[in-house]
Amino acid sequence: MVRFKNRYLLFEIVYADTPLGWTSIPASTSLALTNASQPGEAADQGPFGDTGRNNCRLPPLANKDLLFALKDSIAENFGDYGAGLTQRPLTLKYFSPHTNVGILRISREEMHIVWGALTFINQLKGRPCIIKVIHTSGTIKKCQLTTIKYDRDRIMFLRNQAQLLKDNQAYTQLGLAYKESADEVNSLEI
Amino acid sequence: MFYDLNIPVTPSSGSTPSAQDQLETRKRVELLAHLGYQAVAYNNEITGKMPQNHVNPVTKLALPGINLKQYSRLTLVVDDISQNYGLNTNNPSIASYDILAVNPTNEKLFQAACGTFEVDIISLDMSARLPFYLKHSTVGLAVERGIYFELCYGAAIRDATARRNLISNAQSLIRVTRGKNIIISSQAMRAMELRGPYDIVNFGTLLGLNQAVAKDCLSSHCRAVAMHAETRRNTNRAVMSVAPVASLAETEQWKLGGGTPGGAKRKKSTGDGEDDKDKGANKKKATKDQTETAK
Repeated sequence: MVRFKNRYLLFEIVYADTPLGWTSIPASTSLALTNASQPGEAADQGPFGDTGRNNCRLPPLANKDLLFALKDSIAENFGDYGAGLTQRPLTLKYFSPHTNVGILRISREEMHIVWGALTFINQLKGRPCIIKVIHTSGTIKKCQLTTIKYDRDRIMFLRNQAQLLKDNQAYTQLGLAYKESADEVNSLEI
Repeated sequence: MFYDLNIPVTPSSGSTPSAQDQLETRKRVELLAHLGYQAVAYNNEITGKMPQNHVNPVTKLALPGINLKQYSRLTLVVDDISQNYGLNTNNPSIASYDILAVNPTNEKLFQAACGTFEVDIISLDMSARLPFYLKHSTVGLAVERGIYFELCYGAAIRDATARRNLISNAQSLIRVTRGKNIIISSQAMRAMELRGPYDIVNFGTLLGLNQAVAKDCLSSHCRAVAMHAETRRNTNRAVMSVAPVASLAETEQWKLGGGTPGGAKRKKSTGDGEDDKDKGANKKKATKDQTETAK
């Protein structure tokens, strides 16, 4: 029929030098510990303080930075033709600088092209990164629900790791983060 | 279950990996676990002839709380037919690796690899123009023998020219094999060159594979490679493998005993159900023959 169909891509940005998972978890997580034992690897030690979620020293990524990077990637890999095809309705619906998770709206026909361009993005604002697509959906509601589930799974995994390493401070802070994650996503107005 | 069968861990100097190498490997493995892979193979690459006293530099990491299977793999870059003679499983240095791959550099060797070499994977350098054409007949030989061709996407992430070459070479490989017997792996030198499994599946669809086939290239084909490797190493012409009596678990001790006339039939019916649990008894070969335990 003539109805215009969308796809919503739920993606996560994984940066090079933060412990894998949550950007605002304090420095004492498994990866930071591993790296702390190697001298001379200053960039890999947890780059954030331990006062909780909002003290994230990563430069916050604005929506337009991400969109420009994506459009550049489409132009580089798929040329002017690709850039033209995907231009409407490429929009970033949600992006959280705390968790580096975002929802992107694209047209259904060109989903593979935009997804491919996302895969080839190497760096954002000078920082090397990986963009990992977690879920695709035709409605944004489902993407929201998956965001919540994904955040929770990740927090549980980190909590497990903290428990294995007997790190009580991280354990309790992650417990708080677990409660807050659903609220943040649900309070979005889309 | 997603596999990444090419994580290069070739030591940069000497024969054991340095602390820097080990840190890189650890970063890559933890990122793979985060991205959603469940199995990984550490690849050591050797050019030319296998050295005599070769020591396997691959060490499998201890990963508490992370569910990740680890294999070790050897890739032999061969440019001369005489290097084939070391390439059988009786060679102890080759037997110390789980998976065996070969990288032929000219047409004659490619033909030999597809037809006669005892390997699991044929890996071609896709980031440069291939030195020979891929012919349907040659590739068909490999497909019949259960050997898989490898596509590495790491170079495409690093460099734009490599990306073009990869896309063009991958298209010819897919055309010639008709999508069968292909695996995709990363060959990532650093952690930031890895990508999530579904991203690579999407990349496979851009190359021309069907979406289901692209997903198989990362999962079930890779599992087939691991099984092929195990069959090659552990069994005698893929029919029979011998395991010492001591390796039987508690619950399997009944297999030894007494032997009632109806015993053989009963064994067959329960044998297929216990497939994945028995590492020691080696029953999971692709035949219906029973394994014999050395008495």
